[in-house]
Amino acid sequence: MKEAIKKGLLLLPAVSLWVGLFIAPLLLVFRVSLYQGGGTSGFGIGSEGGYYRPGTWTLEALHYAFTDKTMLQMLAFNLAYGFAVAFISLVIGLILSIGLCEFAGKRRQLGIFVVVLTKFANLLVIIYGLKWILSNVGPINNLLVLTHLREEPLDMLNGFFAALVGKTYLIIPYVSLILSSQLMKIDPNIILSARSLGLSPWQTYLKVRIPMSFDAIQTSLFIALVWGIGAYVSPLFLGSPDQWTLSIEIQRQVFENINYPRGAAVAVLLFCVFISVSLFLALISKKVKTWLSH
Amino acid sequence: MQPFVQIDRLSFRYKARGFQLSELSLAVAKGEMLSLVGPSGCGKSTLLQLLAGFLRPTSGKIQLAGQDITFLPPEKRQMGLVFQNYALFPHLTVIDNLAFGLRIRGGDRQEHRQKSLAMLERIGLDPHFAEKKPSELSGGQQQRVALGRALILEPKVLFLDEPLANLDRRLRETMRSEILRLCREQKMTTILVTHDQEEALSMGDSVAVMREGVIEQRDVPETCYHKPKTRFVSEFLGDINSFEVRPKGDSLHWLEIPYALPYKEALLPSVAAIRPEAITLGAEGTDGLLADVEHITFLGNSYEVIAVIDGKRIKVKCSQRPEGPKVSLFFDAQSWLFFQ
Repeated sequence: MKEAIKKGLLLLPAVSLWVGLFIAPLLLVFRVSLYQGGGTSGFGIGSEGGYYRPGTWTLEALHYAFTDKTMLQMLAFNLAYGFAVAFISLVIGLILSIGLCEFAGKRRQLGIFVVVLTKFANLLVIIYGLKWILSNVGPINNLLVLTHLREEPLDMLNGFFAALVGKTYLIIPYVSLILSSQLMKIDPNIILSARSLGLSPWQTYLKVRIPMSFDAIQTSLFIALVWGIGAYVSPLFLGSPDQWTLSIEIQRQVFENINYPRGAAVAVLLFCVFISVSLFLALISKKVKTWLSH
Repeated sequence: MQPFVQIDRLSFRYKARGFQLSELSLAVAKGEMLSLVGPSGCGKSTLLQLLAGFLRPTSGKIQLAGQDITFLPPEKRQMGLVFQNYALFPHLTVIDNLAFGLRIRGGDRQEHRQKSLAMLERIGLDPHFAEKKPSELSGGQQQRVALGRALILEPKVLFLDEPLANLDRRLRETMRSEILRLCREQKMTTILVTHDQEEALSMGDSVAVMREGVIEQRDVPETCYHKPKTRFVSEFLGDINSFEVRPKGDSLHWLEIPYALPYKEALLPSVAAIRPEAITLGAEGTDGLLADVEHITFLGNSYEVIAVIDGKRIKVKCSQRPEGPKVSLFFDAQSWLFFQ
C-alpha cells in the first residue's frame, strides 16, 4: 500500500501537468467548438467581442469543420503533406544516422555536433534563410543559371516543394538523433555474428540493425508525422494558400475571422486526425514488426 | 596432420594502443580444437578477428583448406562465431535465430525450419523454446542457441570467443562438455579463445599460450602443463611455485635452503619451479624439508597448504589435512622445471 502511495506521489507532478496543461485546455476547446459564433466574448476581452455566444450549444462549427468541402480538401492535403514530411524526414534521417554510425570517435562526435548545430538557429532565421536559398535570386537558382542548366530560374519558393523542404529541414535533426542513438547502442558482437552468418556490411543494416531499431524508427515516424500534420510556420511562410494546413486554418478562424467556435472545431478535427493517425501507426507497426521478425 | 587453417607470419598493429601481433605463425589441423589462451590484452581476440576477417593484417597470410583468405570478407569465409555475450538477435525468436544464416543463403523456408528444429534438439532444447525470444532464456540456453546458430551452417571453422565466461561454474562445466560433444559430432575445426587455463586445458586438443602478441608455446595440453617452455607459460597454466636459484659447488641451490635441485643441463637456469601437486607432505621429523604450516584451505576434494621455509612460501596440494604446525616437504624430482 505504501509503495502504491509512493508511486502515486511520484506520478502526481506529471499527472497534474497532463491534466492542467492538456486535458483541461482540450475540454475547453471541445466546449468552445460547441458555441455559436459571434456575440459577446466570455473571456472578458471587450464587451462586444463577437468571438462566440456564451451559453449556446450547437454543432454548427463542428459540422463546418468535418463536412465543408474546403475543409476536407485542406484535411486531405494536410495528411498528404504530413505523411510526405514524415517519410522524407525518416529516410534522410536514417541515412544520416547510418553515416554517423559508420564514423567512430571524434569524427562521430563532430558529425553529431553538425546535426545538432542546425537546431541552434532561431526558427524564423532558418525559415527566412530557406526563403532566400530557394528564391529566384538564391544560390541554387544562381548556380543553375550560371551553369546553363536552366535559362530561367526554377520556381521553388511559395509552393509544396518549399513547404516540404522547410518542415523536413526542421525535423531531420530530431529523427537522426533518435535513430543514431539506437543504432549506436547495438552490441557490436551482434553485427560481427551477422557478418559471420553471411551478411555484407550493408545487409547488416537491412536485416539486423534497422529491424533492431524498429522502436526508434516508430518513435521518429510518429514525431515526424505529428509535426508534419501540425505544421504551421513552414507552409505559411514557404508555401502558398494551396499549402495551407489545419493549423493555419485555426489561426485564420481565431485571429482573422474572429470565430472561436470554428477555430476550436478545426482544432477538434486536428485532434481527431492525430488520434486516428496514432491508431493507424500502432496497427501498421505491429504488422511490420511481426513481418520483420520473420 | 595436414594444416587446415594455416597462419603464416601474420602481423597486425593497433596504432592507437601501440599493440601489435608480429609475424605470428600457427597451424590448425582439420577437426582439431585449438585453445588459444593468454591474459587479457595478449592479442588472442585480435588474432580471432583477423582470422574471421574483421581486421585486415598489415602483412602475412591466412589460408583455409589451401585457399588464401587473408583479404576475403567475413561473410565469404564460412566461419562460425560464438561470443561470450551470445550476441543473439534479440528481435527474433529462437527458431528464427537458428534459421537466420540459412535464410541468408536462400532456399526453402520450410526446409530451414526443419533444419532449425533438428538443431534445437541437437543443442538440447525442448521444441517449446522455438518461439521464445532470447530474453526469455537463461544464459546457458542462450549459449546453446548461439552455438546452434553457428553450427547449423556447417562452417569450415568455428571460433569460440570466451564462450563460457558469462556462466556460473556448474553450468560452465555442463556447457564445456556440450560444446565438445557438438564440435566432435560434426568433426568441427574449432579455435577457442579463452583466458581461463582450466577451460583451455580441458577443451583443447592442443593449446597455444599467447603473451604480448606472441605465441609462447603451442603443444598438447599435457605438455604445456607439465613441460612449459617458459616461466610465463608455467605460471599462466595453473598454480606453480617459482624460486630464484643459484649454483653452489657442483649443484644448483634454491637460495639458502639446503636442497640440491636435480638439474643436469649445461646452461644454468635462474628460476626453478614445481607445481603444488608435485609436492607431498610428511609428518614432522620425517626425511623431507621441514616447513611451517602457515595456512590451510579446504577445497572440497583436496587441501591447499601454504608452507613456509626460510621465509619462502610454498603452495602444496594434498588429499589429507596435515596435522601439527610443522610438516616435511617431499619434492618429486621429475617434476622440477627450470627456466632461464
